[in-house]
Amino acid sequence: MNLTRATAFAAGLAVVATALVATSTSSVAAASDQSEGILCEPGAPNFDIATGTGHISMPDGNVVFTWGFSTSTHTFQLPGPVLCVTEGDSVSVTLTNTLDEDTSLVFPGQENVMADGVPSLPQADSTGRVSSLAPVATKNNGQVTYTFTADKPGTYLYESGTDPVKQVEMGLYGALIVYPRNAPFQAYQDPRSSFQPTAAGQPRREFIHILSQIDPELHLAVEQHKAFDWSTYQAHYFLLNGRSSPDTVSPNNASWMPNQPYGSMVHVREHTAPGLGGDTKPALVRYINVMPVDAAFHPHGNTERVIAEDGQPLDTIGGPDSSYGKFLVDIGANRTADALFTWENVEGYDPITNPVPVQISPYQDVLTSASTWYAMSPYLGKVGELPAGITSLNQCGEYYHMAHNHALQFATNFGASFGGQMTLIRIDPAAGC
Amino acid sequence: MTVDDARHGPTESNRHAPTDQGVTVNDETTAAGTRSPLISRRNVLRAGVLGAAGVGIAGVAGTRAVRAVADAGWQPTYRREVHLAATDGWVSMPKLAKKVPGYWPDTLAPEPFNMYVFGFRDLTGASDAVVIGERGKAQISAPVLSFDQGSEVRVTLTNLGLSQRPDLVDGHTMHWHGFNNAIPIFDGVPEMSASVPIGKSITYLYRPHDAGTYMYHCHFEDVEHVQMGMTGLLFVRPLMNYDASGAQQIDQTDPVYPGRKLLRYVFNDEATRYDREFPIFLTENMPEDHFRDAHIQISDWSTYDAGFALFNGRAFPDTIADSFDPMLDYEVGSDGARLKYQPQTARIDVEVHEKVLLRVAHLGSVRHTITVDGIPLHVVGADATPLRGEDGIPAVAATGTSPAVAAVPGTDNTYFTNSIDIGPGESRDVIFDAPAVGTYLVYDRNFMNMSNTGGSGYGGMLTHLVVHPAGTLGPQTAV
Repeated sequence: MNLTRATAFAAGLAVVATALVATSTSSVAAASDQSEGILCEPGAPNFDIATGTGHISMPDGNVVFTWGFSTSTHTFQLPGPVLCVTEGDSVSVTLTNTLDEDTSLVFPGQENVMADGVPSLPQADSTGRVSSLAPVATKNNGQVTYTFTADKPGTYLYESGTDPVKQVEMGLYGALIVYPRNAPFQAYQDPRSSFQPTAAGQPRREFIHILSQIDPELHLAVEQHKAFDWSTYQAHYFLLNGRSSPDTVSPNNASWMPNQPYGSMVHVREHTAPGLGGDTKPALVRYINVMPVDAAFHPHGNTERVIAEDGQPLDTIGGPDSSYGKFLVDIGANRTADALFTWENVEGYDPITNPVPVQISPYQDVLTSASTWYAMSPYLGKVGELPAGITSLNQCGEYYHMAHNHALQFATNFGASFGGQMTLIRIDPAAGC
Repeated sequence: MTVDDARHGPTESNRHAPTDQGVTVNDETTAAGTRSPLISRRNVLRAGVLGAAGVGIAGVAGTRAVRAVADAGWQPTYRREVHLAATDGWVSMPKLAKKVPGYWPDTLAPEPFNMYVFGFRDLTGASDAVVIGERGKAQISAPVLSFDQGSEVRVTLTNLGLSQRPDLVDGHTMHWHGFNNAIPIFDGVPEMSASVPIGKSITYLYRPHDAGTYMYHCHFEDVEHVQMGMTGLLFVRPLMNYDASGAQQIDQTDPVYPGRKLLRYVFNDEATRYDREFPIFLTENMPEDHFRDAHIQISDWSTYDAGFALFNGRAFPDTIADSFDPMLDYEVGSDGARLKYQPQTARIDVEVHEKVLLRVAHLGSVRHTITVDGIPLHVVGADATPLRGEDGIPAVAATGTSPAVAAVPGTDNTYFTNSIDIGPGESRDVIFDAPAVGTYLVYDRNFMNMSNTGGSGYGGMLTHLVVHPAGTLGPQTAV
């Protein structure tokens, strides 16, 4: 079944190669490097968000009409801007609705949310039926301001509360991160939620994975103002931060995907003891699932430790530790989970002092992708001989592992494999690349 | 609820009679005493390989031989070298299932089969000639692999090609799903390392450090190769199964089998002890996709609608049939002839006094809710990780005047439940106390999966837990 996948893959590869160049160039720049990791929207804790419509590109060449939230930094983007605030902040989000139907915002997990100064409660129409889960910004430039105190650190989402089955699927969702006050590089107040610190302006070892899906027939119907029969709903695209694999590994703000600003590649160094150059703490991955079904996300390379669900830490200071190790992180519909990832070079294979004790087949005897993340060497930090005609996506012998939805129909682009909700975990040697 | 065996028809009549219970397969005499003809898995394989001798065993020894093999079908092995072959082949979903017009039964399928698959075979120790001869004879629910924590394991994977699809030059890989601190060359993702071309082999090396229930599967064009059947279970057994000298621990206090050799634990944790274990491997398949692969058509893999839901590669009522050996020839028309490429039974035979471990793992595409009717289930592990907090404190040895300090285990996060909610890619380790003698049902409480292709009657993820009187099965052992 090579045709469709090969085509999609080839399309993605040009993008990926460019991405690596961009990454390596920007990593030597001393200035702010926001090519990877979480990318917080400026202006916290006050945000002005507008709904909008635009198009996103899929790796197979398709272009999909979507809705989205954006601030003044983007004319249109998917997913919505990442709203980062700090525990105790008084948060204000003003929503301007450019759509031709009403919309609203809900903030699951936040308490005492106000809308234009009154409690943000479900709305009813004149017959008493629920019309919205929150007060609306009316169609054609209506506005409403939501306020709340972010009193619990954690990973949350915000999304449309009006006709959400349609509006969230169309793209009205985003991440809300509440950082613990006076606890840098931690997800919660418990120091066991620490993640690897990085210098100011450098990419954080903190990553967001927002999982969503698209039925292109629905999006076409909305674009053309036609009716859609929901009994025919069938998702064909499965997004990670608004992109499909392999576009997911392109950097943040990749110029060729102006409406899809967020990459999702997880990038760490091998875990070492302090002073040896490697990461001494894990990376933090914040999962947010806005699909109507569970997301079964499988990081290769190592079991992750799930430390929180829905912004509730599973490991509390002085209390029992209910965190759990999972090689398959299950995130329920419209739920979030926080997980810690490390990778340790347990065997310490080295070509001279500790060679891999089996014959590594020469490249003539194996199949290699036309473009490969493999360094043609089993050893971390070593690069082997590249076969003729093969494009390397590897920089210095770093390792790459896959991370993907293991309901494998979600790891496709319209059915073509190596797509959808799939990204990479990049592991650099302790000495760096 | 108990179920009268008779309800399931005449083919059931003697199946669970204790006198006919298969003995466990062991090269050595067990503490339970001398046993009538034992056929080790190794011997059966050898016999099968020798052709005439293989037929002899299947034909002459009949049920007895099959029974012994049956218990060996997924019998734990403590090997460190495994040779897997990857190829395509044909299997049989239940013959009486509702037809899927145009797709199932597959018109290309040779009798007695009806569905096209890809799969792995265990051909450890077989000659090159024998290995090549197994092209086109894939099994689904791949061979269960079990290894010891701390051992060095080599799995050699040979790609035999696809007999039905010579136009495809797909590679294959082995991805050990969940292996900690994996390095890419042994992780089996083609784009991150390499895959095995037709006619070649790759040897994967592992040093498993963490006990538990894992899975493995091919990662080449994963959505297709996994759906087509290249999926199986993999166990890592804890060091605690061994004493300080490295010998397997012996339990002289076992009330029924004093001297039971294989005292087993799921993890290095006393609380995870069990007497007898069973794999319950969950997958589903979509007959339309399998048909299209056989008939050189393209599937849109993003549309998925399970037709058959499987335990160990079989749908009920095949789940309760014996285990078979793909290397043996079985009488035409028999269950063995039809199910030899789905060789692992999903019938759970236990004794009344025992602690039973179900290793439940899932490489299908939709969630399942597995229940053992009326029996409290103790979930002790998930994803090859003990359900314990990381707040435990290790033991401190005595030094000088300071006395030793005992270890404090981490928070006990194990739990009791009546149903195991499990999604794609996950595993659970579940222990329960065998109830009174009788037959009980194990099934998916999502009843959509308890039917075959949406037809009437019972099918899919449904099997029997058969509780036998004490002392009738012999201890579960391993080669």
